[in-house]
Amino acid sequence: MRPTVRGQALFALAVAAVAAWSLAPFLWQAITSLKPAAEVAAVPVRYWPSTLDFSSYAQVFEARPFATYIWNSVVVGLGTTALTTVLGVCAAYAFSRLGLPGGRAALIGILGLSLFPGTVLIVPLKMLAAKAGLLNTRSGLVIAYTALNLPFAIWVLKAFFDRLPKDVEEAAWLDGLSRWQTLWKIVLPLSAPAVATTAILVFIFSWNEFLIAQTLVSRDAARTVPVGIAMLSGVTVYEVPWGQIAAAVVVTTLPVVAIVLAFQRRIVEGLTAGAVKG
Amino acid sequence: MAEVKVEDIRKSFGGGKPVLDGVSFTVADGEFVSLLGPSGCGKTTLLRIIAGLEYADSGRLGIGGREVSEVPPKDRDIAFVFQNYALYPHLTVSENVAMGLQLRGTPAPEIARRIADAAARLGLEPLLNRRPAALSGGQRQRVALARSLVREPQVFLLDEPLSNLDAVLRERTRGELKLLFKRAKGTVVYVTHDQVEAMTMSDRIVLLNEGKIQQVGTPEDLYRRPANVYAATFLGAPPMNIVPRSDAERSGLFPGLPAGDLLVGVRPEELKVGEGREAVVIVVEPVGSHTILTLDAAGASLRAVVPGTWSGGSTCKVGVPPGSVHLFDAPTGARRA
Repeated sequence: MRPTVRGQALFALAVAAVAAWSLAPFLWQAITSLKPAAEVAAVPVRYWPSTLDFSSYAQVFEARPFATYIWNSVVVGLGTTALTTVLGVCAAYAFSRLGLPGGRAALIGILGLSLFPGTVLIVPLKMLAAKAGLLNTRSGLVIAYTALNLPFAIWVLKAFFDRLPKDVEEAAWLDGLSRWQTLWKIVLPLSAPAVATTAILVFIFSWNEFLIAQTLVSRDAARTVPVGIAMLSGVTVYEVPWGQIAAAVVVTTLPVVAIVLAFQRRIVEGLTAGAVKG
Repeated sequence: MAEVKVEDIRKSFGGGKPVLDGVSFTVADGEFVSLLGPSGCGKTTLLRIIAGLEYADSGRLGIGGREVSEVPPKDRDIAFVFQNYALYPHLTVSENVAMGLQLRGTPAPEIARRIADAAARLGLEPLLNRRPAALSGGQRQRVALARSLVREPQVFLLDEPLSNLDAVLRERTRGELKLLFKRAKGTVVYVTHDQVEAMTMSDRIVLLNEGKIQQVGTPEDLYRRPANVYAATFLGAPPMNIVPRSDAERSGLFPGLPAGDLLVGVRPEELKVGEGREAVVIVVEPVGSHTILTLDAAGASLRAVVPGTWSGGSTCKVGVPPGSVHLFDAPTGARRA
């Protein structure tokens, strides 16, 4: 069907509406972060700052060790992503290809586990972490996040592996590749889109996670950004430092946006390069 | 090069009906043998067992005088061409072809030489840096062939390599393939459900049905002396006429039948139309070079092939030349004479 001018205009309008809807809160945060303190909560609302004021950014880093928080979030995020992806790929490949006895039951069990709400897990998690000496450590968070994300990763990756043509792997064995080599040289390159998607979503989960980070970590040395933002406080209990919070949100969102965009390119590349056509 | 010895191979999936039920045959060194049969007859499973992609429940398998039942696929010194080619989508044509050689530690100059050689033979030179997605079906098929040729294996295993090509290309490739493997002096096991491919390309044919061998022989053997009713009706287009004894006697076309419960067979192309007994023409199917007639000769339904276009009317005379009659035992379907 040939797209009409009217159709295209409507499509563009719809895209713009969705984009505005999604981006408006972030845009509002960005603008707020650049307002002078007096204009942040001014009545009537000032939509645009009179001057661009970067002092909120400076205050964020003075008020709290935000550089440490960001570093912690990066380490925990990358650690969780790496561990989840590696374990997820191995498990999903095994479920998909090795015909494990009881594999189906195990898969459903894994799905069942992921249905528990996070709040139910908090207390036992904290007790476990305390026993294992993992309170106030980044590795404690990485382990907890990996456990929570693995069911998702396994299901997504298994569904993708199931769709890969088996013949190609058999050709690889005949060519002399071992199982591991087949996974590494054939299956993974073909699954790049799925692996990248899984990795991004796991990273975003880890980057945004608040409840567990708040429960398992009570010291700045291992604290992550979401908890750090929540800890920003004004001079008095009644003062909410909106400017600083907005600045913190911007500072911590931009790296994620950058990472996602970078990965997204890879996804598109993977899709076009790996085209499996019958 | 090597012979392939298949001995009493049995296989069933999930304990169900056997897919292969005691299959034995030998492919001589350098021979081109087709496994022919309808879909679901077990021919692809048998090929995959020879390749090591499946394991037989019982039986022995030898390649080049070595028992290989428990040998992993990569150590069997075989090359396999898959029905849908199974190229690595993320690698270029030359990388696809080189993979097996690299993993076997073939020196780079030797790899380059063999790729150049195979590419020249198959007309792949301009495509070496493309990915499979950028190739046509015929080109992919040639890449799959190149991948098997460069390995210089003892045995080539091909699983319906022509079935994904269009009719014209299939016709042309058939001859090319035959020549290619003759030059490569390889032992070839070729799976197909297409009797024309099997007849034209093979030194010998193994005809399978429901997991059992129906007949092993040269294409000529299978055509001239089918071992049973199944072989008689699977080969030939249209297939051999098979008439129950009672109908055959009533038609008067088959005098002097021996005693017993018989099925009488005669090939449509051997029936003499224009002389003999009266028959009614029921269907006329012109094919161009010849015409297929369906006749009713006093209750015996027969198909006959006549050259050119049919200009006769709604009745004709039909006769069975002596020596063209095949007799089969009715209860078992086995050949009598």
